[in-house]
Amino acid sequence: MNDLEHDLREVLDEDARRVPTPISAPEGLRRSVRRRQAVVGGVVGLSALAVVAGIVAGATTLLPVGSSQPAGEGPTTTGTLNGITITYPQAWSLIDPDEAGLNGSSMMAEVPLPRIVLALAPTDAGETFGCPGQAGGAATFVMTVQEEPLALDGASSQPWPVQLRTMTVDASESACYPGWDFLRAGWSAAGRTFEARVGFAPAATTDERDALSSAFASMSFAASGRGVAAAVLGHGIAGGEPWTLTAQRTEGRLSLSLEAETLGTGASFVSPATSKLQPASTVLGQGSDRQLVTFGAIPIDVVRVEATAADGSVVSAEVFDIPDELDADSNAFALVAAPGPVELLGYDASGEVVAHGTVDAAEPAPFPWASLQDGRHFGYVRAVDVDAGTIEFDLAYFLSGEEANAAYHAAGGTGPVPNDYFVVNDNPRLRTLALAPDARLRLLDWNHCCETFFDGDLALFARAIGEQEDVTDGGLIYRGQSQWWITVEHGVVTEIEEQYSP
Amino acid sequence: MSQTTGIVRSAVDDRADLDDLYVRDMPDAVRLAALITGDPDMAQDIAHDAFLRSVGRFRHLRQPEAFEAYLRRAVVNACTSHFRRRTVEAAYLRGQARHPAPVDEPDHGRRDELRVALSALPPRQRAAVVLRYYADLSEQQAGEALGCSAAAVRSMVARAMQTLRERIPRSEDT
Repeated sequence: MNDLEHDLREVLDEDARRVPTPISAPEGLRRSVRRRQAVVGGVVGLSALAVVAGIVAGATTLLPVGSSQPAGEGPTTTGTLNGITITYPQAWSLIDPDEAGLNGSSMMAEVPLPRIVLALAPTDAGETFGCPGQAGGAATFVMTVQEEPLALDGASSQPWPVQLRTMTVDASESACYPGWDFLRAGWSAAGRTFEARVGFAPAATTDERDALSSAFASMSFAASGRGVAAAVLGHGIAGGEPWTLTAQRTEGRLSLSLEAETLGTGASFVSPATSKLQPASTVLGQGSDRQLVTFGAIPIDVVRVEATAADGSVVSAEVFDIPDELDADSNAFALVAAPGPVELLGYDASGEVVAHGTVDAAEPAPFPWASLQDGRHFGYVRAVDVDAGTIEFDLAYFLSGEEANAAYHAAGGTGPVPNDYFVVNDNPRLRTLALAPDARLRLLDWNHCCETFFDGDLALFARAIGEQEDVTDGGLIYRGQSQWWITVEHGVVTEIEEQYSP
Repeated sequence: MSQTTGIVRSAVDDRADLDDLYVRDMPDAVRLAALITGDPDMAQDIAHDAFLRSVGRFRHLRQPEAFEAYLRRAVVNACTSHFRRRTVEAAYLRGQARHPAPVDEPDHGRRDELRVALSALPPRQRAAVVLRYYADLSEQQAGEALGCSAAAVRSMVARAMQTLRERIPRSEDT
């Protein structure tokens, strides 16, 4: 055994010993099993859990097992954490998230922003880990306050005080938060932006809910000693998709990122921005709704940016102030235009052109994989580039039932469509789609046809597709000619699944 | 019928046996999930959910004695799905924010460096490493848990070890 393997084994053993594990089965386990069996498709559990667990990010460490908690009555106390002062029932616990490890375990990197800056729970019995759902209903609520990049625009830029609002989360099948309901609020105060998330168990009393509301409303805020690390500059809509422009300073550079529902893209600028603009662009939306979003940093003296398209039309950009703490010499701009090349001109206060730049791609698509919307798509994989991490995908439509019959007849078929499905593939366009680094390849195990899958190896898959021939790996078969469902999430392919066809 | 088979078969309907099964198998499942995800809190959720799913589907297993392996596979799948979801959910900026400049990170020594490097591996590679070096599974067994061939496990572990060596310059294999 070499040094690395030896150290690896020791580190893993050490970390495993630190992991708290359940010492008894939770109440309602049998009921949960039966409920699970009744769930059609089994799709509720983990996906719901991930949402719910994400809401209270790690706060399960705070929750006790086996002891009921007092309602929110009685004397109160006041405490301050990370610049937040809060008054809460004396029987409750104000917990430092860093000390409680809520901002990441020992194996995870530190999180500058967003980070949890305050947690409030019925107890600080921190040595007991576990799901509230496993604790027999003893844990009745938890509140976390997370600090976010400073919001200069949007809902979270609203000043304190704000109201907690109900979140739409179905936790009925959650193992750890069964039947919980959740509230959230976002606001800015003292030059900082926060988001609070509150979860209540069904057993939470009215007193506890009222006391939690009072504690939430009692909060006051001081400026952070660290200054602004990141800021949300603005929001907009392009191609029907909302986007958010954010700035942060990383390793001495100003970074801007545009985040939309289907993709996130970033651009870095060496401060200060110069007269030669370095815009970043992407296209949002589909079909005739597609629109180009161009953004970038501009020198501080640029007060107006205009984009001239090939047809001569002019679009004015929105100019955003970047907080001096992030970059005292730069601001930012963003504009939405029709896809196509544009010339950018930046004007100073006197109307002189002091900066210029171009977006020269006829069809700007810095992220070619953004050419399919998120979701599941049927079609044919025509090529796989393992090194580039991309596939060429021929989108088609897998129809069944009446749709299949109608398409079959429209294509000249007579009688019922064979095997009750029909594939329509009218468009020859091939899309180059990026594979997620951990994209899953689910191939049919033809030896146990046809509901069993195995996770395939991408290189063998690429070989089979490239040769259009079956490739075998032991007893497993990679079919060179088959039909596929791909799952696109945030613009990248996260799963390729083989479709059975007779 | 093995002891495990008997417990699992009756567990679906018998509360006491189900509790026994939970107490016996959950600690390993939670540890495995924690090592793969690096998140002990989420590991509780993942392992619990995988347990419910495994017990719920147990009657459909061809080899009932393989419950532990089935649960292990469910945990590994849930962990990699969890990471995929996290990856998707992570906005670009947040991704940047979660990886501060190395110069800002305190030096916690070789083991912490190893932890950080391990946490940065792609999820399936990390799972393969954990299954091989923590759970001490053979390549064949690890492949069953990961849903891939032994050769694929060997490849994933090799790539993971190469990455770890590159990220920890002080590690000199003997």
